[in-house]
Formats: sequence, structure tokens, C-alpha cells
Amino acid sequence: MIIEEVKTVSERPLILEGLPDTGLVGTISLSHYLAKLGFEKTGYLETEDFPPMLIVRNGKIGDVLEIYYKDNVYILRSELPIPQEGVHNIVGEIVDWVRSKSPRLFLSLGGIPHPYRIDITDPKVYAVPTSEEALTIVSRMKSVEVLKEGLLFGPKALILRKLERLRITGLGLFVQSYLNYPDPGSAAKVLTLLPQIGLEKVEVDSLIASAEEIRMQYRELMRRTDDETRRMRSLPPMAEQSLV
Amino acid sequence: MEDFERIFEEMRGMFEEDLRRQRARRMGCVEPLYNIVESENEIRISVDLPGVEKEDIKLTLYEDHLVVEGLCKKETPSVRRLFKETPLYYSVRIPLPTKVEEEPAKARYYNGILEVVLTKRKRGRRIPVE
Repeated sequence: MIIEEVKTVSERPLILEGLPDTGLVGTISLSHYLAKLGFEKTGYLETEDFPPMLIVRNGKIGDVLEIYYKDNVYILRSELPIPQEGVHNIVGEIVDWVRSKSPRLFLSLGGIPHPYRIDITDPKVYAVPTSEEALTIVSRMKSVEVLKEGLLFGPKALILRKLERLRITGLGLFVQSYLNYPDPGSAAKVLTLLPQIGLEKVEVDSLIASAEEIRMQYRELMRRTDDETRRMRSLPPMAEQSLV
Repeated sequence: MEDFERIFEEMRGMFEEDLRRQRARRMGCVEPLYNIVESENEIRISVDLPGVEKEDIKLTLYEDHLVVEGLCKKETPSVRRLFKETPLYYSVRIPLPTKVEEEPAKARYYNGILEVVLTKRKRGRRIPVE
């Protein structure tokens, strides 16, 4: 269950989700967003579905999946991929919590693999809206197109599916990215779109400048995420699949 | 004679792979992330080698695998190393999904990602009918 250590007062908030996924786009972009804008940690997910481990940050014990809050905006971020065995339980907990907040928008940030990402300088962003209201939001956005055909796997897919059933306005923004390398360039691209939905602008030059270091830093998380994603898609190792 | 050359080539490959593993163990190598994309005629292999200079990449193509090695000289405070005086060294042996031609093989390094394009060996040979 989700434990809120700090009481927050929000009214139809905006919820951003950056669970580890293709290219770690959501994780990298929201970690940068958190670091630049000074959000406060307000809660965490208590679950037995993650492997037994302890995260220590700046000498303090942290949590795998954490919730941050500032000015009517919540951010969900995880330091580990959601394990295949626990995906339904964990997603259920997340969606119950989201529902309890009655958000005006739930925004999932992720990547969509492109086999020739190395040749792409300006990656495209695809949107998956869960309601007519979300579709209206997308139609007002520049540089975003609705994903017409495709398959999504993993926790993000499950969250969006559940939100659609619950008639909660949700939007998945998926940017073309490397399949199994951390992709700070794509993370930067998706961050530049956030002001279009009323979120605070954040500079991305430093993210792009430190891209190689970020890729080294996130290598192990990427490897674990890729393993879990392949298990969810029942694919043999190192077989490339493109979603679009 | 062809059989002898093939056996010799296989033994040389095994010897070099053994040397690579020994070196990898000694230096505490990191296996980089890699990806393979197959099309009708090509195999594209990309390898994530952040922090490496182009000159420090060693790429060797064998009949059924590719060996990529690279030295990372970049200082990265976020990456913890067992021995600080030892630079980060990437090493990986990538099995090829099918046999490839020795030529043409192209490689480029861009933004910390190495991409190698190999041409698949054609399986059938057309026989003209007289």
C-alpha cells in the first residue's frame, strides 16, 4: 500500500509517473525535474513484491518507489523496475492511490523504441489518451501525435488501461528512444513539452551535457528494466522489437 | 587444406577469447549494454560505450561473434569503482545471429554509442541454367 508520511493538501492535482521503462525516459526526466525544482518526498510504496534491498541516499535510508509533492503536483518515481510477478498488485496499489487523489490529469512519461534512434536528432512524441478530455489536451499540444496503432507492454500499459476503465483522465507521452540504453536526449525532449500542460519549465541543457555520465549511472537499472520488460513480453534476450 | 585453415581459425578464436576473458577478469571489466537489429540483408549491432574515445575502441569480427572492447578514461563521480586507479574497461563478446560476410563491415561511434553494420552471408547461390 502507499504510505503518505507527509500530509498534503491538493485539489484536482496533476500526477506525473516515471517508472523505469524503455530508455528509462520517465525515470531520467523526472529525476532531473525533481532535482531542479525542489519537490518534497511525501510518501512511498510499502510492498513485498520488490526484492529485499535497501536504498541509501545521502546517508539516509530511502524507498524503492517514492512519491514527491510540490504545488499541486505529485511525482511517482522508482529506483527499480516493477517485477513481473508483482506488476498487477503494484499497479493496483498505484491506481487506487491515484483514484483517491481525483487528479485533473495523470501523466505517464516513457519511451517507445526506435531501431534507428542513433540517426534521429529530434525524436517524435506519441500520446496515448485514456479519455476524450485527455484527447482534447493532446490536440492542443504541439509536437505530439496520437499513437494510432501499436502495442504497449508493462506497468505503464496496465496503469493506462485501468485509468481508462475508471474514467480517470490519463495521458501517456511516449518519445522515440533507444530500447535498452538510458536515453537522456529523449528524456530532455519530453521535458520540453511539460509547460504545454501547465507544468513548470525546467532547463534541459545540463541534462544533455551530462548525457554520457547519466548513461553510465543508470546502466544497471537499465539492464534490470530490460530483463523485466523482456520477461513481460516473453522475448528471448537481445531480440529487437519495435512498437511502431 | 580448407579444413586445416578452419580448425586453425577456430583454435585462434578460442585462444583470443580466453585471453580476453582473462584480461576482463583481471581488470574488473564491465559488460556494456548492446542491441541487435536484423533486416533482410544486414545485422546492425549497437553497443553503449559512454565515456569512451573512438581511438580506445577495439573491435574484432570472428565468424560467429563480435568482440568489442573499450577503455573509459572519463572521470565520473557517480560511478563507483572497486579500484580508483583502474580505469573503467568495457568488454563484451556478442554472438552473431547468422553468418556474415567479412566485407563490407562498417562501424561508427556517435555520442557514446558504437554501431556496427554487418552484411549477412547469402545462403543460396544462383545456378544459371544452360
